[in-house]
Amino acid sequence: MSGVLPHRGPIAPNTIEDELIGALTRRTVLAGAAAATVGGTLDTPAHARSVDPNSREDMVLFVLLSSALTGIAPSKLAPGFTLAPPPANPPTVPPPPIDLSKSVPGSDPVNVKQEYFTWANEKYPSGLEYLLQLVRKNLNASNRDKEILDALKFDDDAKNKTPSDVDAKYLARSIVLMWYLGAWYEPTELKALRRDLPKDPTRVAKFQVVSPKAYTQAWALRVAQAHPMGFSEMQFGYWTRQPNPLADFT
Amino acid sequence: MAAEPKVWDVAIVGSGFAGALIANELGKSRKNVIILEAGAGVAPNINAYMRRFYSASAKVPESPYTPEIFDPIDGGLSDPNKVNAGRPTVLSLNPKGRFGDWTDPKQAYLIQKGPRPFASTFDRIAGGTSHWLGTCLRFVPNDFKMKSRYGQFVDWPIEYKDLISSYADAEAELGVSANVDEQKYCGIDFPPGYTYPMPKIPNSTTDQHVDASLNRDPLKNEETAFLGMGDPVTKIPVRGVPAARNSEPYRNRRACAGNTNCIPICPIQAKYDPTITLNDAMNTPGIVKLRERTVACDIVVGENGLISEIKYIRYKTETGQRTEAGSVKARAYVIAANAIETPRLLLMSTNNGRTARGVANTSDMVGRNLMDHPYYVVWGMSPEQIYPYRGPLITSGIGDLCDGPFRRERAAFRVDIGNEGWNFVVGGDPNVTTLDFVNGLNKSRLNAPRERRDSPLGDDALLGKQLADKLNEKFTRQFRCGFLIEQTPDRDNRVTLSSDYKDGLGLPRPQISYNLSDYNRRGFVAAYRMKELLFKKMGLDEFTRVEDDDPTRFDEEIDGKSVRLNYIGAGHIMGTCRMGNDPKSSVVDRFQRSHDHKNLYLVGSSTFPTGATANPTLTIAALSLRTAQHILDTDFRR
Amino acid sequence: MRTKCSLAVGAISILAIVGLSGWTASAQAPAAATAPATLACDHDPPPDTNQTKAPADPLPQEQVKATPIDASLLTKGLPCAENVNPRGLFGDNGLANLQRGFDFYSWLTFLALNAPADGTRIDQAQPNTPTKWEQPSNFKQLLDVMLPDGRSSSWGDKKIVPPECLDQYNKLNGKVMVIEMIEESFNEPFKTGPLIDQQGNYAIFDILMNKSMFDYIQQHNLQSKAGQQSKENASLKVDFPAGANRPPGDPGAVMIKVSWKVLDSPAERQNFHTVDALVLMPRHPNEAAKPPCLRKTLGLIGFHVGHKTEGRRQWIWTSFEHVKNVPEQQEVDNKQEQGPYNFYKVGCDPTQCRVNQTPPTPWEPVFKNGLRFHDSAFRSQITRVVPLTDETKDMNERFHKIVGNTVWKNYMLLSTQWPSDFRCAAKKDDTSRPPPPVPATDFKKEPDMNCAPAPTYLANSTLETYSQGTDPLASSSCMACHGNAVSQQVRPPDMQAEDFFNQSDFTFMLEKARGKGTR
Repeated sequence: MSGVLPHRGPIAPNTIEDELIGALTRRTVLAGAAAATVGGTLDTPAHARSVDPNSREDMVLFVLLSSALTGIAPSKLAPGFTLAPPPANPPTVPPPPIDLSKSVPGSDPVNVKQEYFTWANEKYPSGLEYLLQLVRKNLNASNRDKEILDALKFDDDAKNKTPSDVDAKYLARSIVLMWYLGAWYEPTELKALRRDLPKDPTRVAKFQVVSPKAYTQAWALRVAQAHPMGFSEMQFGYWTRQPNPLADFT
Repeated sequence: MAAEPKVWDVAIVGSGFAGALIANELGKSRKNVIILEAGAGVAPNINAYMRRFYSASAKVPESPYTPEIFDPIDGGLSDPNKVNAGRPTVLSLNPKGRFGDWTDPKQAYLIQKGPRPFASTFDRIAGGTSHWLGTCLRFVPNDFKMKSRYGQFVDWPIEYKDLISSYADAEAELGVSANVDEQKYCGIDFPPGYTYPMPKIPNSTTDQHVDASLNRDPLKNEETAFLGMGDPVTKIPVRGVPAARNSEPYRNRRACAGNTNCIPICPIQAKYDPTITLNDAMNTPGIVKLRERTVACDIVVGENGLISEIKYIRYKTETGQRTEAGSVKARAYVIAANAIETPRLLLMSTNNGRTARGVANTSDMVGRNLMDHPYYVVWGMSPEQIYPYRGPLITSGIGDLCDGPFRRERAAFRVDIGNEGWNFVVGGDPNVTTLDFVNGLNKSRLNAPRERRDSPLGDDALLGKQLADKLNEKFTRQFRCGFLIEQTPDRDNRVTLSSDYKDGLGLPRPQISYNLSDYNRRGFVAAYRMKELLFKKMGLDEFTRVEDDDPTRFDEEIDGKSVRLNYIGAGHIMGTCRMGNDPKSSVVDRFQRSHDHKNLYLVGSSTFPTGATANPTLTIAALSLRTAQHILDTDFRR
Repeated sequence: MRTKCSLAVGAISILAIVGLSGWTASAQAPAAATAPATLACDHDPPPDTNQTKAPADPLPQEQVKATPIDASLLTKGLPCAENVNPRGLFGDNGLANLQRGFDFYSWLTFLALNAPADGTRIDQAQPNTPTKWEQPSNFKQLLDVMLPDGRSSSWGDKKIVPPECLDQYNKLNGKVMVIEMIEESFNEPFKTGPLIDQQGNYAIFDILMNKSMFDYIQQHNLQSKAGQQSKENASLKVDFPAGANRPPGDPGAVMIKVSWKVLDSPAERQNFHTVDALVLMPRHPNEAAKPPCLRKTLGLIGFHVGHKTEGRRQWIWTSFEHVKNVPEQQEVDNKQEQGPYNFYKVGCDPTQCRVNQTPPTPWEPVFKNGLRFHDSAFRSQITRVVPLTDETKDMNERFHKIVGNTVWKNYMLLSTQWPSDFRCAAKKDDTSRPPPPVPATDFKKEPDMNCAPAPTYLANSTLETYSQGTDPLASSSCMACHGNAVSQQVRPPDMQAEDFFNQSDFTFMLEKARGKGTR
C-alpha cells in the first residue's frame, strides 16, 4: 500500500497508516520502491563493488560526498565526524594522506546520515558506488570538494561522457535534494523534468518525503538561517530578533 | 458509569469552534449534551497528525487530518463518491483538464457550478478548522452596519456593542494574545481597563521591515487617495494581529516556539484548537459525549414545528459500509456544521414534503449568500534580507484600511503580512526554489534574469557552497502578503444539493454556485493599488504571477493597463443561514435561533449576514458563547 | 546541617562557600543521634570506565575496563555533576560511550537520592524506610514554594499543612508525607489524561526542587506571579545554578518528579518503596463539600530527576520506573508478557482493553470515590512503545545485584536524556582554539536551544503515558518539551522586544507561581 510510488498525478502521494512506526514502514517502502524503480544503467550488477552502508569507511566517504555536494560542513551533517589523522600543528605541507580506517564517521542521536546512506544505496547501489569512487579518487586532493563538483559539471549530451556519468550526475542531485529537503526526487524524474518542462510548463515535480525525521533534518531553511517549517528548536520570541550568523547554522 | 439519557438536554451537530464552545458552556451548567461529529474522534495525542503532516508531500491545510487526501491504491485524489464524510481539498481547485480539476466530481467533493470556483475548504476533525492560523480579530463597528452606513448589503441585527462582553469571553476562552492599545482602530473600543488574556506575540523581522518601509516618510495624498478613506492618509500602521496563540503559559499549554506551522497544525498546541475545549467539555459536571464518525442526515420536525429528533448514519472506515443508523432526541438542537454542511443538512431534511424546501427555510435563504474572503496573494523579492520562515505564519497586518467612506463604492480589504517567505506561493517553497537551483529549473522564476523570467529552464544548476549561498541569498529575501477582500452577500452565491452526485453514504453532495460581484472586483483593484504602493516602498521586485488558465483569474483595467488578478480561498465560509430580525429574509434571529423552529439553533459563520474583512473565528466564538447563554436562559430557564 | 548547601536558614548564595575549604562533602555521614544526614554531593563521582580524561592520551582500547558495579558505589553519594567520557567501552563511538556514562551517573543519582535518610545503607533498607529526597531539608514540594499568596519563604520554614489534613498530621506528629493535589497531580502534562491502575485507583504525581533551585527563586523574586511580572524581572534571564565537580562540591539545581501508586492491600507493599501519606484531593468548583484528606500508603512507580550542571546547561534528564509497570509493546506482540503489571492486564482482549487510550471522561476525581476512578470497571492498559536499549537493560541488571534483596531491585533506569551537542550553548561564531572548557549559557540559543538531545525521545510509562512514540515534537522528549518552558515575565512597554527573554531554563515550575498578578 504505502510502498507504491505513483506514476500519475503531479504530486506524489504519501499514505501513512495510523499504527505504523517509522522504521518498519520505511523498510517495506524501500523494498517496494526499489522493485518499482525504473532501472537505469546505474543498477547494472556488472558495476558492482558493493557499497556497504554499515561500513565505517564507506560512511566516511558518504559524508565527504554529501558535504561536497551540499556545501555544508561534514561536522554538521554528521556530528562527531573526524578525519584521521587530525591536522598537525603547525600543519605539514603536503598534509598526510587521510586514513579512512581511522577516521570517525561520527555518532549523533538523530543519525539521519545513516538513513540517507541506506536509502540511496538500496535504490542505486552502482550509482552510489560511482560517486563514492569519485570521493576516493580525490580523497587527498588539495581541494577535494572542488574536484568532486567539477567532475559532475558537464552537459548531458557532452561527447566524452557515458550514460553512467550522466546518471551519476543526476543521482548526485537527488542526494543533495535529500539532504536539503528530506525528500527523494528520483534521478530519472529530475532528468525528465528538464526534458518535459519546456513542453509543459505546468508539470509539477514528483517526490516523496523520506521520513518525518528526514523532513525535520532538512537543510534548505537552515541555510536560510531559519528552520524546517513545523520543526523549530528555538525559543519564544526568536523571530523578533535578527538571526544568528549563517555560520552558526551551517 | 452514568447511563446516557434517552433525551438529551441539547444535541449538537459538529464539534468545531461553535459546537465545542457551546457544549462546554452547557456542560459547565450541568446540562447533558451529545455531540455528533461526522469525522473521526479526537486521539489522546497528536502523534498521528504530526506523522501524517511531516510525511505529506503536499503540505496543504488538510494534510495532517483524515480523511485521506490521496487514494492509497491509484495515487490520485480520493474519489469523493466513495468517502463517507468527505471534504474539499485545495488540491482540487486546478484548471479544467488537469490533475485536481475543480469541475471534476471524481476529484472535487463540492460540485462546483461556477461561474467561479469557491476556493475554501474545511476539515473533518474537531470540526472543520483545526488547521486555522489562529487569528482572532474583532469586527469593527461599521462592519455590522453596511446598509445604514454605506448603503450596501444589509445590517446585522446586532451591533458591535452587543458583542463587547462576548468578545471578551471568547478571548479568554481561546486564550488571545494582543496589546489592547494597538487594537483600538476603526472604532474598535474596549471597556476601561480591559486587557487581553496574554501580551501580544512579538512581531517578526519581516513585519519590522514592512512597517519601516511603508512608514519611513509620511505618505503623500497622491499616493493614498485611491483608498478613499475620506481624510488624508499619511501613515498606514502595521499592527500586531491578535491571535489564539500563547505568548505565555495559558491553561496548561505552552507558549509559542515559532514552529512556523500554525496552518495546518501546531506541533506543541500553543495555538488553540477546538480539541482543547472538547476536552474541557467532556470533563464538566454535565454529561457531554462525543459520537465520532456519526453523520447527521435528517432533521425531523415534529408537532408545533419543533424539532423532534435528528437521524444519523455511522461508519467505521472512511470508505467502508455504513455500520448503523440511529437518532438522537433532545430538548434543543444546535447545528454547528460549517456554512456548507449546515445548509446541506437543512436542505436534505424534507420531512416527507412537510419541509420541502428544507428545515428552517421558509425564508428560502438557507444556502444562499455564500461568502468567503477572496484572498489576493502577491509576492516578491526584497533587496534587503528580511529573514522570513521564522516565527508564527503571520504576526502582523494592516487593518486600518478595512473601513471608510470608500465602502459605498468598493469592497474593503485587510492585509496579511506573511512570515513564511514563498511557502504559500510558487507551489511551495523551500522545495520549489531548491529544486530549481539544483536541477536547473525555473518554477520559482528566480533562476533566470528578468528578461527570461518565465523561461521553464533555469540558468544555474549548483552544488556545494555555491548552492548554499544562493539559497540563503534567495530565501532570506522572499516576501509575500495577502489581501482579504470583503465579499458581497449575493443570493445567487449558494449551496444547494446535487441531484447527480452522492458521497460514500449515499447522501447528496453540496453543489456550489459562486461568483465575484463588481463591488468585490473594485475591492481587488484597490488592493492591487495598495500592493503597488507597498511594493514600491519596500523596493520589492514583484514575482506575482497568474497562470493563463487559472480558474480564479479575472482581468481588470487598472491605470490604463490590463492586469491579471486572481484569488484563493481564505478558509472563511460564511453567510448561508443569515441572521436577521425579519423571518421573511433571514434564517435565524439575533441569538442564532431559527425563526421557524423554536428549539433549533444554527451557529457558526453560516449566520453572518455580511463577511467584513476580519477572520470569522473570534466572532463565531463570541456568538457561540452568547447563544449558549441564551439557550440556558430560555430553553432551560436558569 | 553539615554541608554548605544547608548551612543556614535563609537565602545564602550558594557561591559563598567561605569557611568550608578543607571540608570534603561526603555522603557517608555517621549515623547522627540527632538530625538525619542531609544530602551532600560528591564532587569526584566515579566514571563508568577507567578511560583517561585527557582526550589526547586515551587508554588503548584493550585496557579500557568498566568501573565495577559493586557495593562500593552505594556510598558514593549524589554526583555534583556528571563524569563522562566520549571514549570508553565502545571505542570511538562517542555517543554510545557518553550514553553509558550518563546512565551510570543516573544510577548513582538514583541510589543517592533514595538512600535512607537516617544514614543507613540502601541495600539494608526496608520498603518503607524514608529516603533522603523525602526529607524537607533536602527537597521541597512545588506547592510549598509557590504559595497561594505568592509570598516568599525560607528553606527551613515548617511544612504548610492544608487545614483539612491538620488533625491527622498532628496525630502523626508530622511523620507523614503530605500531598496537596492539584490538576497536575492526577492529569498528565498538558491535560493529556489520568492514569488508572489495576485496582482502579488514580496514579498520583508530585514535583519537588532542591535548595539550590529554591534559593534562586527566592533571590530573584520568582515565587509569585507579581514577582515574575515585576519590572525588575523584565530583564532577568533565568539561569539556575549549575553543579560542578570541584571542591567543596555543589550539585546546583536538581528537580524531581515522582509518580505514586495507591497501595491499599498489604501484600502489594512488599514490592514498592512506600511512604505513609496524607493525600488531599484536588479542590474543584463542581464539589460543594471540602476535599477529603485521605491517609494512604503510596508506592513509588516513577522517578524523574532533572539536574543542571556546568557541562550540561540544558540539564541532564534521568528517568526510572518500577519494573512491573507495563510490558514493552514488542513483548506484547510476541506474547511474551511477564505479568502481573501495575498498568496492564495480560490476556485482555484489545477491543476490551484498548491499549494506550485515555480513560473515559470525566477525569476529575470525585470526592465520594476517594482516589478510585469514577468508572469502577476501567483500567488503563498501557504498553511501553519505545523499548529500553540492551545496554541499559544490562546496566540495570548489574545495579540490581548490588542493592541486595530490597525493593530497590524493582526499579529500573529507562534512559538518560542529555544534550549531545556540547558546544551548542555557546553558539557564537566561535573559532577560538582551544575552545573555552565550559560554554557559557547563550540565552539567544540559536539554532538549537536543546543541543541535540540524546536519545531523541524519552517517556516514562507513568508520567508521559499518552505521548510515547518517535514522532518529532509530538512524542515525549524531556528536553524538546522542557525547552519550550517560559516564565510569567512580562516585557514592559519601554523594553525592546528583541531584548526580552522569558525562557525559564527548562523548568515549568515558574509558570506555577501563584498570587495576584500585576497584569
